[in-house]
Amino acid sequence: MRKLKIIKDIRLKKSTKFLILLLTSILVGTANAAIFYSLTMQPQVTVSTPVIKFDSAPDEPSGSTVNDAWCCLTASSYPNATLTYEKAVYLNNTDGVNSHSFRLRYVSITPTNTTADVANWDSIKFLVYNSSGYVFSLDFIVSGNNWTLSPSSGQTSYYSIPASTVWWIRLETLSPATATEGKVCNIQIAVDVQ
Amino acid sequence: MQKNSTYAQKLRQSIWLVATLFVLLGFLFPNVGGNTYFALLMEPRTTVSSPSVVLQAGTAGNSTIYMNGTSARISAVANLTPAYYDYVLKVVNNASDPWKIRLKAYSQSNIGRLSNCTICFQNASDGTSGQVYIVNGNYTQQTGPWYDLPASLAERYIAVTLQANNSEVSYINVYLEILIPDKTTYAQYVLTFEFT
Repeated sequence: MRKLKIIKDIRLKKSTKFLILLLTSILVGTANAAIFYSLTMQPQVTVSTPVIKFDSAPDEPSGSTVNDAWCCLTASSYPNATLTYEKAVYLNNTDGVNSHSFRLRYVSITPTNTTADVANWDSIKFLVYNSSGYVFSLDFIVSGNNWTLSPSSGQTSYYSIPASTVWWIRLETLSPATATEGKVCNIQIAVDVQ
Repeated sequence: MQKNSTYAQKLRQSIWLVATLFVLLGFLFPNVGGNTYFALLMEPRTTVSSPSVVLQAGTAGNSTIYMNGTSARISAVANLTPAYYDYVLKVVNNASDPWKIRLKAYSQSNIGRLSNCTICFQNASDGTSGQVYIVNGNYTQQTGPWYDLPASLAERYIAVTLQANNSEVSYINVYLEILIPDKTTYAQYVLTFEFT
């Protein structure tokens, strides 16, 4: 009885009391939910094709691999000359009913900034086209030994591709006259789909 | 006074309660909108390569071939009377694949003095293909038709016909476009024509 009185005499701020009450409620609520009953969820995960997917295009560089959700494009870059792959890869919205939004987002690039090998390129551009023409692009421009991205955030805005429509990516490469043959640039770009 | 203080305390408690609930709900249901997101991955790999089509100097006029044989500057004299330069530049295919080539004028300066300027491809077997035409200072054709550049070792020549009405200098910047047949993959080399 005396112990209870001591506890009652402890003075707490109202906010502290409220916090204790809240945490106790969460604890009780969680415990109750576990005791009362349990639901059963049986998810079935099926391997399927994404609604927007890559497809092979007429200008896919030889040696490239194009799968539904992943593609590797093995392009060339000529010194002092612009090389254009007009239709390097298709982006196909296979959803027959709904449009979907997507964007290009930079993930990684090698050679990395501040290394001398970066100067083997002037620019590498990924331009998205549809049947009406140019839509948007993600560009890698070299300045000194550094890559400058355009847009500078490294990601484009989202653009809506209509149902059952194919867009394509045009790849443009340009190296300076002093570029060394055999140098390789690897880029990773995510195509985020909503 | 006491009543006001109690009201303020109750208000503060309510705000705390609502804010806490929002935070909890935010953590519990991050995708409350119901959208599904996914990402495809594209991995381009770009290798610096030597082009299989290169430029070589001609025997007429003066041509300067820049590093790697992928750009050139061609100089020729434009007189008051027509002058024909049959071989100002050579386009050489070193690859086992055939290509198609054409010229596309993309910028210029002081071409008003050129009463006649024709830039064309020519070859003994395929004949002549007019690519860029200027008549009385204006373009009548800026982009030429595709012209065959057969597999290695093949050579095609660039010829120029010129006539000017004064002794100033004109510049025409032209892309030599090299296309893989049946595709839309092409390279662009920069050619600068200087007509004095």
